[in-house]
Amino acid sequence: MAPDAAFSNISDKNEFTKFTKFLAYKGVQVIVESRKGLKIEPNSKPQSSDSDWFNLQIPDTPEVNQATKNALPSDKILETIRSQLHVEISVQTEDGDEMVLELWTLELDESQFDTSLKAMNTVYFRMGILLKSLITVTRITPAYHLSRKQRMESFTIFYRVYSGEPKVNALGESVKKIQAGMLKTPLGAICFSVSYRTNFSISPNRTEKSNVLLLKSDHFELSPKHVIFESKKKREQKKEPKNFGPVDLNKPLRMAAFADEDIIMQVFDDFLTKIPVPKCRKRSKAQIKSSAMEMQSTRDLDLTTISKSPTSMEMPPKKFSGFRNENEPPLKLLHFPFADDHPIRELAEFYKDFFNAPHLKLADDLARSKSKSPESVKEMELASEDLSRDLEVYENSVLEFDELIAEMCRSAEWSGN
Amino acid sequence: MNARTIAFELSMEGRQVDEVVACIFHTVLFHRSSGKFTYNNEESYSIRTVSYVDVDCDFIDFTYVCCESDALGRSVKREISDFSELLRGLDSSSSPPRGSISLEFFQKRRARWPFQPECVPWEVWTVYCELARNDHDAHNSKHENVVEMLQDKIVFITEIINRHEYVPKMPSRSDADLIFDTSYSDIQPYLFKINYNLSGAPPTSVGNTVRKLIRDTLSL
Repeated sequence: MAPDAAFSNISDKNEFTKFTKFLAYKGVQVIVESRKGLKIEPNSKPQSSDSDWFNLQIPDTPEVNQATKNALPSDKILETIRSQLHVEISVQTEDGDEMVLELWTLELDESQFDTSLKAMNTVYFRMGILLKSLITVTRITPAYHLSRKQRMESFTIFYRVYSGEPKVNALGESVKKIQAGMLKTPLGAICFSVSYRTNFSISPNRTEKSNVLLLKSDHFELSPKHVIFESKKKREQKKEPKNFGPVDLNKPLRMAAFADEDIIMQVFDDFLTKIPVPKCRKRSKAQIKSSAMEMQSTRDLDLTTISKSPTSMEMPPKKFSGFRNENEPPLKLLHFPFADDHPIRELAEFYKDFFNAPHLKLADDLARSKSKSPESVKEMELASEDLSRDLEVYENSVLEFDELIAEMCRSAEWSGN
Repeated sequence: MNARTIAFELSMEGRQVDEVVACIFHTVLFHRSSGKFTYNNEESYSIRTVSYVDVDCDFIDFTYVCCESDALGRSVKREISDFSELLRGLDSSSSPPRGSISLEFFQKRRARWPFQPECVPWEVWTVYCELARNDHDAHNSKHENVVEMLQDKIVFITEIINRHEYVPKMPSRSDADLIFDTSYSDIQPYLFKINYNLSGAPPTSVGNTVRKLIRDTLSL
């Protein structure tokens, strides 16, 4: 254990904590940057401001920083790093096969401390050297070469930041571990290391995996990707039938976050009792039930696959999963093709930030109405017939409406005076 | 001599010499270079940022990182190319050609008239190269060997460099030139020198033993 009075004063300890925090942030940035598949060319980076942490020009991708922040709470920096901070790099093929390639770990080993290191500027300088070692070592593991090929091949590299117990099992049976430098400080040794898979064949030797492969058919609406990644919670949310009519007034939008369901239902009921809704827009309850039952079998199959899939068990959904679109995998895509040094990159990042906005149910229904099954065509015709009748009624009431408006204007004038 | 010496023995093809040596030397130099110092007064300074670039090798399936500095890159390349050319020019009929090249970090001690400043090495990295014969059948396995060897060396380098022994202390403004090579505009490596030797013996060091002897004698 490192001595309690490792630093002579509290400000040194605070400074040390701050340095360690940024070391972690920059370390994660280095690892993720190296897996983007981009070669860092001369003059490819914008002119530095000379205020870079550790005097190294390491990118500061907000998305990556956010991921680090989620795993590394600001009020528990040293505690979290003592219990290890991990960056998991995985690959996913177009077919949805997924494999964890390597696991980077930052830890603070209290058993190996060096009380002679007191000057904070030396700590800072040496942390910079530690980061250089990390940069160097990120280039020599197999995942680096794989990520450099991702532009040409049909797979994508993903990352995930988490703290606590490492999920080493995901790396398979043959694992190699490398230490990328160690810095002894009065509070213990700060150390970056990587464990990586040495067997890269995607041959499924686990029964769970082969289950996923069996599902690789377009028969089901859900592709295997979703089978792997979707969490149970999400699945429950999705239990609404898909075969809606062209426009569903009962459910104009998906429920907003934090909305009180009871109140909204009440408002809807009130609305529907007061305002007459054309017959054609009311869907028969039986239809909903039957379509829901049809979907059930697929979902059950999915659920069983999910509970068995090693990835779903060991990977909790990433932070902010509540806002994620159902079609998006839990890990973030690392690169924007063809937008490396271009203003379009900024746009792409903007797009990505808002990619997870709530999905409008209306859009789904419209899209579905475009696919013209005979039934839906018939339904459409019926709807337009009813609509014209509605229109007729409203047109007949035009005078009434005009009077109403005139009255409203008058009352406005009155209140104005 | 209070210095750390690290030696690597590597076997490679002739065309790989430049890249193998560059890979090792640039990895070391990346760790041993800082941004340019700007002294605010005698003791306090600020350090500018270091940029780095990836270098893909042509004759080995390998990528290494080096500081983004044309001038530093050129001066290292020149020394390595000279060495590689001489090594590959050796007669390989009797035994495989051998040579060694070293990257030596040193600090200067102030000169006393009439002598030149004394150079004291504190870390020396030597690569002993042996040229393997161009055997086409074993080409692939040999190639993999070189890659694996380099991976091990890189990990070893990071392990050594994070043990902070023998490294000179941060100098005050007036002594900066005795520790760092301040001649580059975009980077500030510790003072270093590249030496090579083709007999298989270690390259000569910058520390001049004879001069030191004489000086010690005179100062008596």
